[in-house]
Amino acid sequence: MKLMRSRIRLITLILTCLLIASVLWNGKTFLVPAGDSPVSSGAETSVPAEESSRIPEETPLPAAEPSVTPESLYDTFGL
Amino acid sequence: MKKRSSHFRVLTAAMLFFALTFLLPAAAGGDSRLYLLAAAVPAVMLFYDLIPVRVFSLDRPALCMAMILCAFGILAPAASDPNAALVQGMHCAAGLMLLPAGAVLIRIFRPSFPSALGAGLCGIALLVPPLLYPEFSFPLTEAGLALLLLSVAAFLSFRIRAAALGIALFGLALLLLQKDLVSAAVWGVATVLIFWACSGSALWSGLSLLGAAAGGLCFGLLSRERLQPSALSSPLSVLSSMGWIGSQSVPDASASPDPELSFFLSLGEQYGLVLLLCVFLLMLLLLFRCSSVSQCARNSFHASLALGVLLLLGLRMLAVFLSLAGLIPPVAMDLPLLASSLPVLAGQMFLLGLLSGVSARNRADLEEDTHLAMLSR
Repeated sequence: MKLMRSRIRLITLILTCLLIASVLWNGKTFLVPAGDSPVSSGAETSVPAEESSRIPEETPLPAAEPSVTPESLYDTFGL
Repeated sequence: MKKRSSHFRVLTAAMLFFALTFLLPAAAGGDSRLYLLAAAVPAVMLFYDLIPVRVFSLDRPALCMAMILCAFGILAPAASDPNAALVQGMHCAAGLMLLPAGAVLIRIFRPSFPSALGAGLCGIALLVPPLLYPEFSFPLTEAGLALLLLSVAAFLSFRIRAAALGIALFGLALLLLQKDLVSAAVWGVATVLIFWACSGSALWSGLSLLGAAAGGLCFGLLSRERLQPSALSSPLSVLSSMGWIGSQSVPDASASPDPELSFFLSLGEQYGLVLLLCVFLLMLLLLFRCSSVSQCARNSFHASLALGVLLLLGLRMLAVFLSLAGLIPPVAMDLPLLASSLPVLAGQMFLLGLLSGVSARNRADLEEDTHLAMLSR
């Protein structure tokens, strides 16, 4: 019975660690609303509503430069 | 007396919490169904703590945690759909009735070959109907697994390991034939760990592991189905492709989410992450209680039975969390005691009843020891 008790303790410890690890892994899933969760949408990842609303619909991309130099960066971004 | 008063304080706090959480939306919306729940949920909790606990010698901490988890299951749909909350409340009340049944069964059950064989046959009989009648929509898997666990624990207690292995493998085969692969995996892992804990023999643990692996491999080869791309890219996709994890239980991605899973997630959506963590901690405490009861048992039958309850509930939780994390394909399974299905809830309550019976037996042993110690002075 002593050996059995020690094995039960070991099983409990391992199961608890696995459960806590799986919940920590799931942190992002629990933070997003249920309707947007990966389980319900079937997607691998989902973007939170706040972040998606911050992304403009059409972000103008800077014109393609043949070569990027510190001067061109200064001109483009005003650094 | 001190323990009892502290336990009563916890239960009183839980009753007040649930009365307020049902009462506030009821007062805001004027919904009579929520008023009914605000009165009924604490009343049922108080009733079970006062009468069935004393009459049937139930385990107070386990019962308290089970009732609080059930109340969370009722709370989850209460704000959005009071009718669903009422139905869930009735399911929980009906399921709670099976808890004393489990405790009484352990009190009258004496591990012997005929009783163990009878329990095993009853468990198998509960797993067979879905195979014979595919339209049978009343899953008795949980109750069947509880009886199979009783049988395996009884066979192991008087060291008839071949019979225990046979019963375990027969149950596993029936679950695989039902295409309930997650339940099969949970049952397989649980029995392997019980064998390992009870027998102390690597030979028997290895044999049971090999048998379970061979069954899963054969089934995976016989009925291989296409998995979703997300499942194949997961770290456990090898197990899934072998048929061990949910290749048959993969729902269509375009289908609506499982309402049972959304109980847990909707709690987080409505009441925040703190409440979700409280529910998770409560489940962990329930598992620790199972472990404590198992370690306090005087004989291997009671210890392996309580260990089986711990494993069946804990591995089910783990499967749900792994599927939520995307590590295994989505499973049509729910967290323990947060299920909307009456048979599943009733089966889990029956398992907790078995645990209560073991706990009552432990208390009786302790009292007997105290009595003997007093007599010897």
